[in-house]
Amino acid sequence: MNIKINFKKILFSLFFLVLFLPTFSYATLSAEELVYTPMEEIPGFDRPTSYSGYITAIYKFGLWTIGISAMVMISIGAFMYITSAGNSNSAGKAKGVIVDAISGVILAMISYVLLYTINPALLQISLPDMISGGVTNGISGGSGGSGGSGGTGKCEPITTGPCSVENLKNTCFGTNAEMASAICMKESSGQENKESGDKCQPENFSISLGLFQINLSANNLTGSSCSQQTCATSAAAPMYTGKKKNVYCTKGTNYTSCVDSATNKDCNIQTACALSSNGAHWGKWGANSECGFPN
Amino acid sequence: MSKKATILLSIFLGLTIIGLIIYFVFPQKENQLIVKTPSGTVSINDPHKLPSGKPLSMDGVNFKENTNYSIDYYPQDQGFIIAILNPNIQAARDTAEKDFLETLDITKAAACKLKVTLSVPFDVNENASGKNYRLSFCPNGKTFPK
Repeated sequence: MNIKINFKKILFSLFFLVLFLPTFSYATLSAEELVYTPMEEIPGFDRPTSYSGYITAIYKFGLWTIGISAMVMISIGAFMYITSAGNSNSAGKAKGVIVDAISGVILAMISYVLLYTINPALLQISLPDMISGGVTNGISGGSGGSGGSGGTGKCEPITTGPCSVENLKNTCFGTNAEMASAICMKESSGQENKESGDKCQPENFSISLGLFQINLSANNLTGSSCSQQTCATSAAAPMYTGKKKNVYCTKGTNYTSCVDSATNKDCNIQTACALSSNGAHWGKWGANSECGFPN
Repeated sequence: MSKKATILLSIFLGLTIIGLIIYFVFPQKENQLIVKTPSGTVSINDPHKLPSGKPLSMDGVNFKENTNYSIDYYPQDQGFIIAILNPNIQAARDTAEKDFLETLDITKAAACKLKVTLSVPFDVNENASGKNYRLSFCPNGKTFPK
């Protein structure tokens, strides 16, 4: 039996096998552990942690490879042309090498430019629902239920912005971040510039401000991020309550500084932390009457 | 000119002409932002480049605000927050959703792919506050309590 070994085919197969072998590693991962770090980094692209990132890195690496190869081939072709010494056969071969290299680069560039011109999104590889949807649903499902932290279903944590559980976990709220996020969502919808409907006289300025709707007539601001801290007596008085709504404030330096500080997300969070004992007690917030968190 | 060179030149010219046609027939929109979502990418008007944008913390931006609603965008998770500010919450929600689509220049189907939180603050409506109602025209949208 005469077996002809085709080295080109073997090399080609090996190349693609090495290139797409990690696909099987991704395929064996469950949705929860979709993050996979390759053992070897792709030159110039570190170690992509997602499958789409891996494919994108290979694609870009391929473009670089084409560019560098073309440069080398043009140099070789130029050297061949110089050393052809008038031999028309050698000079023709050299020209062929240069033309092939340049046409390869042009084709690669045109494919990229065409796709980008049609729609830049075509060049952004992302996973279909089947794979990544599971992860997202898992996260949103977990944060959507506030029952685990004593919520009543009327108080959902927010998943975007400075009041998201993810962000509040890294603040003074720590493990109470989910309750804090739900109170923030209920009080301000997670808007850091939120001004309350409760107004002080005579010019209808807002009394409660920011993420946790800090009542300036009842509380001073606390924390290193608060440039103005004394507000309860100097910015608005007397204390605004459900029964006592005639509060007076003047738009002087104190009131303006208190508003600026209270709408600073770090100052607001630090003050809410101090008022709630780092998120353990929420009795000072009217919204908690429906959330049912510890008072 | 050799046959090979003629073929290559023809391919090059052909692709160039196709590229030029596409370039002029489908002009590239400026100030667009590609948002990656679990359901695919969505091209929107970049909230940071809208004239009404006010900067927020964490590189966020409040890009639409009036007496009915306020809309924030945070690039950290490419999420949107729509807060309803008018006590007539249903009418305010309708306006907010319509303006949201128009401002970002997207379809309802594309909007449903985005991460949108739509909620009502406590001082606007105690009963409806504290929940994420999402966009009403999306499959996961919820109606306000009566």
